[in-house]
Amino acid sequence: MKILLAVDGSLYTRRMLAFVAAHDEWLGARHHYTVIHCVAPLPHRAAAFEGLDVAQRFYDDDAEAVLRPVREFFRAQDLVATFVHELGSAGERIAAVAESGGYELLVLGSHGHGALANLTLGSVATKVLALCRTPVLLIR
Amino acid sequence: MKMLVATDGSKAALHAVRYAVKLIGELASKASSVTLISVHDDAGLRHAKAFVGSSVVADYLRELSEKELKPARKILDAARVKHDMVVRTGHIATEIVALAKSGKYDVLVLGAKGRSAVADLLLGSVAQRVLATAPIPVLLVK
Repeated sequence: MKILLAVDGSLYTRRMLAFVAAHDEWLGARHHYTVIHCVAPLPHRAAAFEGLDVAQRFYDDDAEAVLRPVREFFRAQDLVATFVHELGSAGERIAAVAESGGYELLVLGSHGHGALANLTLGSVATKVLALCRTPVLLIR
Repeated sequence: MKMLVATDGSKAALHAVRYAVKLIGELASKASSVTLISVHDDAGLRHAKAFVGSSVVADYLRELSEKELKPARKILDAARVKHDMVVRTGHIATEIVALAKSGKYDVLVLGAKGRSAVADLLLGSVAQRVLATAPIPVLLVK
């Protein structure tokens, strides 16, 4: 099965990996995982001031900091996964990748870093649900 | 994977059942099973209860639930997925979450919109309430 995991390094990302690890049937070679992390773009002026290279390096570093622990998790589980990072609004990018990549399941945290504890759903999850038709497994 | 699938006879709920079947196939684990839950709210039927007696109302709601569960069971039977069903009356989201809390299930599967959803609502009211309080991961199927 083609599965897209949306990660942001928050508590919900850790819970997501714990869920996958806790159930053997989610591991194994019959699944193909893609892990996606979205980086918020720098304000235009900051990006222009620093230059394209610096901005790009900033984005890559930011993404790698989030993706590295997930990469290690997959390596420890002996699973092959593809890692991507996208620049832009997380909700929109995740939904776009889920739809265009033909994923059969999207796994998403119900909240992210910016969680207001009393919100039913975080802003990213809300947006993703509005924008894509892929079934979504919400980890809370 | 033990799945609790909430059913209300809506299109989205049947999509959810079909997806649960697909997921069980993909996960290829022997210990998979589905529990269907159907809940009817009896809060609006207080007058009816006073008039015809609560057992008549309970029978009526059970009948409704069984009718709604039929197409879902057909799908599961055809796919030879082991399943059972739970029929409850009460507050819909509360009853679903109460069963999800029993610890017997790995994931709760819901149609994103149920029977009474307003067209421009992103998530049905039941899905929203369940999401707010569910103790296990929730799989939303559109």
